[in-house]
Amino acid sequence: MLKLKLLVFLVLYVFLKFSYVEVKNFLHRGKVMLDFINVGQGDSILITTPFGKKILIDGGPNYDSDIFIDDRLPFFNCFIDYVVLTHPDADHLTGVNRVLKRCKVGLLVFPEVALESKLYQDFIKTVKTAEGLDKQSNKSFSAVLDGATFYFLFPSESANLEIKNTNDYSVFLCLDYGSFEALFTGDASTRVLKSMVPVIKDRCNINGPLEVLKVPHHGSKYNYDEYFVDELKPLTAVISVGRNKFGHPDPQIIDKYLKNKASVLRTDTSGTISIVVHKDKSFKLN
Amino acid sequence: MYKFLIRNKVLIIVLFFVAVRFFHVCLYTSAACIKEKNYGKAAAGDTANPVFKYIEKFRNNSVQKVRKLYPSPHSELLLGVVLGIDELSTVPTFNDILIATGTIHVVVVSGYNINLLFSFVKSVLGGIYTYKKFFTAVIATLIYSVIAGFEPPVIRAWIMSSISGLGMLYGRKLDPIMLLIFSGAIMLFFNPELLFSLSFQLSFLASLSLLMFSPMVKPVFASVGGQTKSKKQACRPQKAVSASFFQEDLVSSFSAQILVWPVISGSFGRVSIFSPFINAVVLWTIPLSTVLGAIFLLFAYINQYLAVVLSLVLYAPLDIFIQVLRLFSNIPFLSINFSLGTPALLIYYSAVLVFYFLYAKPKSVTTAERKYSA
Repeated sequence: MLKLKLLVFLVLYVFLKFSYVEVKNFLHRGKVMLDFINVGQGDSILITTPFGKKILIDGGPNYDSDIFIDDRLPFFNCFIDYVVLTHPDADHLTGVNRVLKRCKVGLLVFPEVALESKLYQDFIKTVKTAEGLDKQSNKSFSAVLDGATFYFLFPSESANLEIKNTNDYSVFLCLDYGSFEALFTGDASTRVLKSMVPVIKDRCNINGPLEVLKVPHHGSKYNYDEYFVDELKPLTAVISVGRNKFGHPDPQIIDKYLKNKASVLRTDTSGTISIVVHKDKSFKLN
Repeated sequence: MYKFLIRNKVLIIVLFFVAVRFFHVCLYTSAACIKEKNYGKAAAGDTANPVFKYIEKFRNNSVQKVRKLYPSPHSELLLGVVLGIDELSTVPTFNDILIATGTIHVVVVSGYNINLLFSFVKSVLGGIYTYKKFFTAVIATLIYSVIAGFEPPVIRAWIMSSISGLGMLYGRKLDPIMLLIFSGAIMLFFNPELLFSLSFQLSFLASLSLLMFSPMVKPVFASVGGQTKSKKQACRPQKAVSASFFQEDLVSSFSAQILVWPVISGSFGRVSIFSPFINAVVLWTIPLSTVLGAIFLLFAYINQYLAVVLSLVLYAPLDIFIQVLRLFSNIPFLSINFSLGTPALLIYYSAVLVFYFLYAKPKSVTTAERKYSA
């Protein structure tokens, strides 16, 4: 009798947990959500469209992004519409490998690179063996999901750039949701940032101030361009960073963003940063 | 004193040989004793041996299956409690929560798993009162020990359960404390370096602490649950059962901490203040996760659909453990930075032993003892 009651309790718990997840998702309907997941020293961003479609940009240096995804999607029905690997460094790729092994993915966007690292080879193996996984590599494109337009830009193709290191492969992602615009830059270097300005303005149709900018390369001093910031005028600069030995984020870079009237948010001090964009395109921090 | 020596002559002889071996290996041969050896992993990873090769393959396949069905950190928790695979470094947020709440010892294969399996085999065979049944139980637990990486706590528990089973076979009741010291001595005889292994120290001290102090701690928590049966509880026996579970876990957690916390303080420089209470709240989910997890892994090899159905039920205890710890981790001052030096540690242990010999009474075996001693 006790065992039966325990079984009923466990089943009931699972039912309530998934109901809770679904109700939470339902309450967020009609809004775009940007979650900069606190994964330590690395990047992982989950975007949710007004009708619940999910776009994951990078997975971070560990599996913490998967913990966050479990809070948003029932574990037996994990489907992510787009997964974007900006470039194959470990602090962006590790979590992507984890998610690809568990969740179904609609489209995987990544730069194809000749890289020998074990992590990247694991990734390539998973991509090759995954059933029904659509891939998009090295070719820029756009997609409209629930009224939000996403532009996926590969610097080598869009700006005709010669790639010198893995950071320069960083896929750019623009989000255009009416008057709300956000830009995600991976770990792009100063050279790439400068070259991408006209492409971003042209293709992503960003004219006014940029509402949210994911600061390139965790706020490193080698990944800041004056021209880029002057032209795009970010209102909110989000730095995805954790404990590290590289001195990220550089205090001078933070000062430069502040002088450009951008408010600076950091995942190492604030934890996971959630930005909610309402129907009237106004946005606020959660 | 004389009576004590006569009564425990076998144990004293064993301890003497262990001491001789320890001094021989540690003082005359190498400085390796002061290094923690990666005990057990070498055995499991020895791919030249076909048995170990097969076990390694089984472990890898299990990891893939668990990873495919469960999110993190559920998958890491399950792999830790069932197969002893330590992948907590891949989920640093959860790892920090486990350290802060003083529950990191839970996410490993411990002696408790062996006792659980030994009891299970015993109940399936209907006792172990014949040689055939006894050896079946010993071999089943040995196979599981090897699959679980043959870590020091597992070896200790396997020796204890085997000797205890042998005692049962001959109709002898063995003193669990002596049995623990005996199995620890055998391990140290074969590998004296284990004395410096944190895993061995924690496992040995936790078991010893539990056996020594649970009869003393139990009356302190008598009012929590089972002991004080009010009229209301007598009418609702179900509530009394769950309360007594909580009481047993509370007694176990507090008793184990008495000898364990100084080692944790010395090794990690941190002590979790609410650890015994938090352990008592979440501990019940672990045996449930272990048993269901083992069945799940077996199902995963037999029939994928059966495994998927079971995975829905198994998700509950894993998730309850994780969510409760996440909730507790929000408490300010959950753990304090405190490192106990060697002199203070020796004074503390001496004081505790003096207290034990002064106040310990002859007692009956508690449920906690039965759970943790073989």
